Amino acid sequence: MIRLIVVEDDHLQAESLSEHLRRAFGDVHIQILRTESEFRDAMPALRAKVPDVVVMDVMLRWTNPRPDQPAMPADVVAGGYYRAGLRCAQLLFKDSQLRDVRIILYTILELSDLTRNDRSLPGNCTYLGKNSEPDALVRHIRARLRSPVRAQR
Amino acid sequence: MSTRQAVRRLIRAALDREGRGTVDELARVIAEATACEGAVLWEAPDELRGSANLSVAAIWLDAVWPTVTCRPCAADPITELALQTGTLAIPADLPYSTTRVYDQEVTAALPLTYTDGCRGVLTLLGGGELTADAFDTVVELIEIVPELRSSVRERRTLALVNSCNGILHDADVESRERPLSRERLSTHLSLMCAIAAEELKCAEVSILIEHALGRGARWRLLAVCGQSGGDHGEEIDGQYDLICSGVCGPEPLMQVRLLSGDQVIGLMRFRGTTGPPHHFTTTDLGLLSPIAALVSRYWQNWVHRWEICDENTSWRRLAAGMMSLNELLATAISDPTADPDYERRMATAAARVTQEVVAESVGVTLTRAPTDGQPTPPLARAGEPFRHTLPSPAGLTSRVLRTRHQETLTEAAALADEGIVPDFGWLLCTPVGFGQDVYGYMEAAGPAREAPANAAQVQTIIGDQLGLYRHLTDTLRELHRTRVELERTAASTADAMEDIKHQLASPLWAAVQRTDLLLLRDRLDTRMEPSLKAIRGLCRKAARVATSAGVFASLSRDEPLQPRSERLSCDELLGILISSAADAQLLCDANRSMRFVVESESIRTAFGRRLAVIDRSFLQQCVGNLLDNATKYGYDNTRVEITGELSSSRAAVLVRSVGHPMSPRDVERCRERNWRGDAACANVGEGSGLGLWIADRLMCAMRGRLSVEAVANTTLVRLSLPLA
Repeated sequence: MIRLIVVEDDHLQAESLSEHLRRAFGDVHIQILRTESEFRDAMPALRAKVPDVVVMDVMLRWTNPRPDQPAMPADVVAGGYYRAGLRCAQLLFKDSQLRDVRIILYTILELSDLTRNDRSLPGNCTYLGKNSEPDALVRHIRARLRSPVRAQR
Repeated sequence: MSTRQAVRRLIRAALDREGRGTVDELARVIAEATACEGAVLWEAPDELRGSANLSVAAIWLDAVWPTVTCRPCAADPITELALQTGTLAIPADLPYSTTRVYDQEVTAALPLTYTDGCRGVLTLLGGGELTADAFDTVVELIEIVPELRSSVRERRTLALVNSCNGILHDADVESRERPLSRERLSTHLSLMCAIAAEELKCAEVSILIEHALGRGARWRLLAVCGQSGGDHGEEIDGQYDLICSGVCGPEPLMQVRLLSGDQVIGLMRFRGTTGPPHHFTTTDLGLLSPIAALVSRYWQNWVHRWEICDENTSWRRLAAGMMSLNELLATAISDPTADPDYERRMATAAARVTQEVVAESVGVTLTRAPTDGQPTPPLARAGEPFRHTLPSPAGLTSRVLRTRHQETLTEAAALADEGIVPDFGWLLCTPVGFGQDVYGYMEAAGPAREAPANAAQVQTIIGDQLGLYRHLTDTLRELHRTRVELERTAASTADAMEDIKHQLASPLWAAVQRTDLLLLRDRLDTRMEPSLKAIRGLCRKAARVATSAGVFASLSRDEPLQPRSERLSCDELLGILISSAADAQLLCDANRSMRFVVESESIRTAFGRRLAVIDRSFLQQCVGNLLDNATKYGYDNTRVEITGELSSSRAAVLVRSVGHPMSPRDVERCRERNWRGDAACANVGEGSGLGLWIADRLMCAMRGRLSVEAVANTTLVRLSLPLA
């Protein structure tokens, strides 16, 4: 069974996306993570069961408000919400057990927006615009699943 | 009591009765003590140098005194005899015509030796023979007259010094209030000269002060008393250069230096005589030393006060000048492009200020730094031109521009090399710049041998100030250009946003309408209906964002928003609120269990039959933005309530939500553009701070009002709507 993680804070998009992927892959386990804090909280679980592919939104809210929520980490305060997905990708890439997980940055932003100011994407990432056809994401995931893991260090 | 004691007491008592007892008074008392009609005290001052010429040291004649005493008189043979023999001499067999002094017959002549070693004679006049008592007295006088003369002269010296000190002290006290003018000071010093002249029987007493300015005469007449008068501003040429002598030339002359340390700062000069002894002695010269020391000391005090006063005046002028430059700058700053000749006008004003503050600078120029290595003519000038030629590329200005250090030239050869006209004695060159940038240089020149004390500092201040001005105006011009460019860019961005709004909103509203049509059909798949409603909600949200872009564009261009107001009934208002709440509910993640509720009864109670005068799309935009915020910042498992409220003059729609508490500062500023509350930033992350700002602007455009209240974790936003 393929294990997919979808990191998406828009529940409408997350629902339609997961339904589309289920139709495309059939035997698939999809876990939806809706905020950056939820993603961080899920890291131990991801280490226990390493996903095959992570579909990562980039502009990602930190959390849904709740009275007892913990303080925002300093790197999140400094980096802001606009590139939260890249931060999450970096967390995976820097994790010794998760660094080989394939990540697809699936965002409405252009690739040039992400690489502005000479920034490069984390080594295990590829990019796909949300304005592409839904099947494009499926093809992309299949290609990722076939390709050998060769993360840049 | 012996005869000697009696004579001494007699003479002292007589002298003490005279307030200003002089040696002439001594002669009078001697004459009276010896019952003679006159007495003459002679001295042979040059005897030690080989000359036995006697001259009159003091005289009193009962009949003609003091009218005849102003002219010298030759000694008679009896007097000469007394000097030669060293004994008392009387006119025994000599003819009458040869034994007369000042037309008075000689009675006797007594040889004297004064206390300073100089020999002399006391000649008694009146004719006839001495009585026995007078003879005894005369014998005693030979012993005591030198001592008495010395005593009288010492007392006179002390009195003169005290008088001079008193006059100088009075002038000094007067000058403490405000430094004396040179004219007023001359009056005081001339009075002192008059007293000295009277005491020393001198025809003219004057004080000369070193004339520091100019390359011509060295001395300037400061004060004078006596026969020649004189202009106090007169410049004295070199013939009066320093002489310090007892007797000089055909006319008696003595001069004493006025010193400041080892430096000669002036002269005190005595010329001609008005009475005996008709010459100046070394004793007289010695008398002048304490007076000259007093004059020197007080003069230095006055000069110091003048310098302080001049310095204060100089700083006041500089402050006033800087204010005028600042005003010029302020005018230029108000519109950096308005005055194309600003640089020249500022430079001219700065040159004029420099010349006014440094009073001894006769000419000041300001020149731009050469751009291609070649010197350029001055940008601005004040006063007289002082260069024959443009500065040499390898000369002073080049060094100053290279080193950025001020430099002064005073050597005649160096000045000539720079092309400075001969009348000028100093040239001061100062860089004009800011930080490492040097924009030009300032030159000032004057006739004195040295640059004035304040010149370097004043020019440095003005040069730095000009550099700062230049930096400021350059920066402002750049800012002005940037602002114009930004305004142009902002205008084109606003145009683009406006265009995007039109292009986006139309198809989105068309999609909404199409979806509405589908939803109106009777038979819909049970899964289809919520999906269509979600699509409609998404389209409405997208259309609202597009409208926000249009509003943002208008507000960025400071254009007033133009509401298309219509009268909405309570039901129409409820329709807008319910559809907004439904959209918010659909767009909110169901897992969060937030509920968006419109309290219809409350709305109906508040509005009743009243009609709200509002722009429908504006209200949809406002409510949509508020519900978006409630979704973003509200806690899970809470209700977002939309209710109505009626006050005395208005009806309002209230949106109440529970979530992160707002601080008082957030409540105060949350309607500002791009304001984001601390809790919003620290806990959620997303958001741009535009939603409430746009809602507030839209409400204002409809003559409504948006207000925010926060109590603990409950936030209440009130939309007060204008009623028909």
